[in-house]
Amino acid sequence: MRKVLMVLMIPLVVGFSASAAATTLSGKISVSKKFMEQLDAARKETEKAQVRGYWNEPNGIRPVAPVRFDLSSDIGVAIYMDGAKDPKPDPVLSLNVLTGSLEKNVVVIRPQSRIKFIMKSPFDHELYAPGKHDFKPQKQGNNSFRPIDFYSAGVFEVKCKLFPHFQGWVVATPATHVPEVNKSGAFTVEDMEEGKYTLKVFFRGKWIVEKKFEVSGKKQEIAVTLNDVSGKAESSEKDEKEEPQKAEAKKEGDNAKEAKNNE
Amino acid sequence: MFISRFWTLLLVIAAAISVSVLMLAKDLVNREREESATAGLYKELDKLEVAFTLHARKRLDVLVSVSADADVTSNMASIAHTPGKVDEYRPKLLTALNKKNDDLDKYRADMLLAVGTDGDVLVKTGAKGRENGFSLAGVPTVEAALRGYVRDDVWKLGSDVYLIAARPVIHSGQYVGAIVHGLLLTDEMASKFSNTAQVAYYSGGVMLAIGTPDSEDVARAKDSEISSPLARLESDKQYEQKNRSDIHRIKGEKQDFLAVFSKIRGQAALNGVGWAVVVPVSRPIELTSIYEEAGSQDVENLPWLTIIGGALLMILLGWFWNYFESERPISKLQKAILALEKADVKDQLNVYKYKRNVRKIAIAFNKVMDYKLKEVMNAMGEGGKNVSSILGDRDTSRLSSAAFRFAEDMADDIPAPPSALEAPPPDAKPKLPNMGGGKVMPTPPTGAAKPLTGPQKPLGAATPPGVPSIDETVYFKQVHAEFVALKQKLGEPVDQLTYERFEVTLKKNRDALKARYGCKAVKFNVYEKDGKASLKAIPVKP
Repeated sequence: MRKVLMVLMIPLVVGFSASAAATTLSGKISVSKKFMEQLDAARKETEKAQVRGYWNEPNGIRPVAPVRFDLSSDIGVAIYMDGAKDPKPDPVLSLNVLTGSLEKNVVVIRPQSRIKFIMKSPFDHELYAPGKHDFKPQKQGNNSFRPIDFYSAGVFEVKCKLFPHFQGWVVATPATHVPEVNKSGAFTVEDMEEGKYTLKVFFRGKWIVEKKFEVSGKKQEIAVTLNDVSGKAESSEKDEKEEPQKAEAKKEGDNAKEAKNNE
Repeated sequence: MFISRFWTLLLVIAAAISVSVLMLAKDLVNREREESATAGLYKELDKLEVAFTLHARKRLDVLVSVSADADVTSNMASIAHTPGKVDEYRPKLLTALNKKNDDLDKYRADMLLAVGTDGDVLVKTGAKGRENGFSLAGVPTVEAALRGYVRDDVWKLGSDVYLIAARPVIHSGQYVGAIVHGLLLTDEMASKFSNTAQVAYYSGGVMLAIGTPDSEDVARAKDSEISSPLARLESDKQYEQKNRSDIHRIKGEKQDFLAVFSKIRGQAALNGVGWAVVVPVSRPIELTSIYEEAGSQDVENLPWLTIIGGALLMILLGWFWNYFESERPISKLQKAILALEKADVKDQLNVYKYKRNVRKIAIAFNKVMDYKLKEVMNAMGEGGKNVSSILGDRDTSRLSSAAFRFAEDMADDIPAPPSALEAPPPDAKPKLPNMGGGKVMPTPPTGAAKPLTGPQKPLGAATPPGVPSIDETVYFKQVHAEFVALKQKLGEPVDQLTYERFEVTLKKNRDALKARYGCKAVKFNVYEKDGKASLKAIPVKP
């Protein structure tokens, strides 16, 4: 009887001790007004350069809505643990290909992972990634799939020869954790080891936010605000931490300028 | 021949100028036609741009009746607010869309889509509609329409190209989706845009649709002819930079065409979709086809009288100059040659009557005759014959003399001296001409010197050249008297026969014979020939 109890107690003790060491990270990515304004301005610039028809005008009934920005699709989040070993490849990821875009505009995977591009459009597509020799244009019909391996780390822009506006990003990076972000920008990472981490946010072909944080305890929260589409926010965030006085002075200067402009 | 040659030169210059003018006129006409066709082409381009703009506007305007339809908006709003009940509202939305699409009449969509707020296609209708459930998220025009923009576009979906119009659907002040209206580009559609030119749509190197103008007068290019320049567009820098090619000339089977290829205004331009406008242009005129090109009216209006008259005048002038300078002298020469047949065997052509080439022919003729005569003489000498035995009763003295007559039209008829080879032997004895069968001595005129009875003393032997001696003058006067007497006897007029002229002629012949034979004296015999008085000069060697 004692032996039986001992056998039953061992996994409970091990499990308890393990759960005590793991941390659940709750993150929240939010978008500042400035970011949305920049995005809208950038979209307008893009639209100017876009090839389109003869007419493009507001409907005249209701103001034009702001640019749609889907945090679950338009950004990618990667978390790196300092000193961590190279992660294992992800299991095969199925990614739907819509008519005008990928199911997710940004997909973050680990190197040596495979993505299965599944066509969910009634129109043929010819996806390719410029610079990736094994991802050349190839006709793909509805409901067919095309597996592509991403062996090495890198940023790959996915395009379509038949739909020139088509755009998506595959980011192969040796991240310790790749959290799924929902539409509201929230994400959760469980079973994180204690230690120092770096969180990065990818948007439109580049990392625009890089934030260091330390994980300890059972629960950890992190909030990231996207301030600048060009990625300058990250550096300013650093500046604010490292040289708060300078940042404050700059802010004051900006306010003064704004006031002058208003006058 | 100078005038003939000059006339020929004038004619050649005139012909060259005419041909030059004709070729210039041809080039002018061709350039004019080309420029006219080019101007017409650019006019068509402008018209078509306006037509496309208005057509797009019209599509957007008619789409209001769909996007603002109560059934459509309410059903789309229901789906937007309760995504889980999409299957419940979808049939209602489809019915509403079908009804509205039918109402669009000639703008009835080949593809009419109701797009949800997330870009998913809720309902499709139209002949070329696709199945439900696919997403158009990320397509710029759909994204723009979902945000509230009214926009037209051109899409290439598979092998089809659609003219797209998109409008937002607003319900209760909220965007609840968008309606996308698509018209398939077909030959019929392409025909709508112009009545005076062919409009064609292509994708890459393939023609998608070729319009047919309503007007029967407009020449139409074949499909293969229109598509022939497509392969060259890839290397056309202007096409890439300005979205419009330079003018291409298409050589058709029956007719040439001018065409301009333009990228289409819309997303499909990135798929290589474009449109072409083709207008006919007359083929360049060739010189050989200028009368056919001119037409009967222009030909009839030509001043034929002037043209034919001028041509005849030029021909007649040419003939005249030719006759005057070529045929007439030749004819004259021919007659003179024929006259020699009846003349003395030693008579020759008077080369001074002829000019240039004809004179050369006459000289050559004389030389040949002299040569032949010498051969005959040599042959006779070898055979032991004399001249008399060959010529019979003919006067052998003529063989070494020059016969001439004094007449009004032959006053300066000076025969060429015979060749040196025909010089008479030193002992040749001149014989007086036979006048009327018997030996007739010339009758001296009154007051003239006593006629000579025997062989007369050759004159000029001791007289310096150019200065007649007294004996010679007497002799000349004697000969003149004899000649006048014979002429009077034969009834010939002697009024014009003055001694001065006579003397000049005698001296001229005397000098000629002296120079030729190297004789010191020349004797003149008067005799009758063919009923006329003649005079013969006979060289006398010491």
